[in-house]
Amino acid sequence: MKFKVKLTEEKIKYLLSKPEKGMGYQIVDIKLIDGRIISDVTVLNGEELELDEYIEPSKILEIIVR
Amino acid sequence: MFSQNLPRFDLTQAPTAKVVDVNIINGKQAFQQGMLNIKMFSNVINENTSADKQQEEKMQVQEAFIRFSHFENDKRIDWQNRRVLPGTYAAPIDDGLECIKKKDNINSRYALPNSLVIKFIFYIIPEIGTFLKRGIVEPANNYLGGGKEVIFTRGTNNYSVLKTDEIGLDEV
Repeated sequence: MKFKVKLTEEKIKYLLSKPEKGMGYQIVDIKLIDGRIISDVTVLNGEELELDEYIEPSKILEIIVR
Repeated sequence: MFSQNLPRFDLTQAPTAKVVDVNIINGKQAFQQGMLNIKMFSNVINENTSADKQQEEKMQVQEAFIRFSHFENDKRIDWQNRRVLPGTYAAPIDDGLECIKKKDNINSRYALPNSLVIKFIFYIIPEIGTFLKRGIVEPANNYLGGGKEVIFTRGTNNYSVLKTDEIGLDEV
């Protein structure tokens, strides 16, 4: 089961300024405040992360588009 | 959704083109009536690689495209200006409609994540001179891909997104 995490407006704006990987999605790495990095995460519609665990949007420090 | 103040597109530069008044006809109807029988995929793709690995080119003739989406409020579309943002993918309209007609698995053909259940299609007719890259969808998301794809490297012009249709696979 995947958890859907809605990103903050700031992160959405950033993602929409970057190219897609395919129609409707991007692949990103996310850096969390606790130092962890989660790689190869799918983002749908520039706003919704698909994750194996739920993460509070406020705990996401940075998103890097691959 | 887009019923007012749409421009009239003159497609006469294409080989078999006619004029389509998009103010009174939507993209699907136009295609069904042969009015979008324009040169839709003008350049031969020499390599079976994804669009992002190809050379950027300028669209030389009038072409039409389809974007499949799970979201009616697709955020890659600037709804105020009815244009797509730079870095947005679509499919040539012939490839997209063939997929629908044959009831192919859209996610498979365009290697989309399973969670993107396609519900909407957007018709895109950018102006000649639009920058894009063309390619073949590479395997991803456990699918082989194989469909034709384009990426609008610099986005499209205002009013190039003409119509939204809720997808009905039996209707095309």
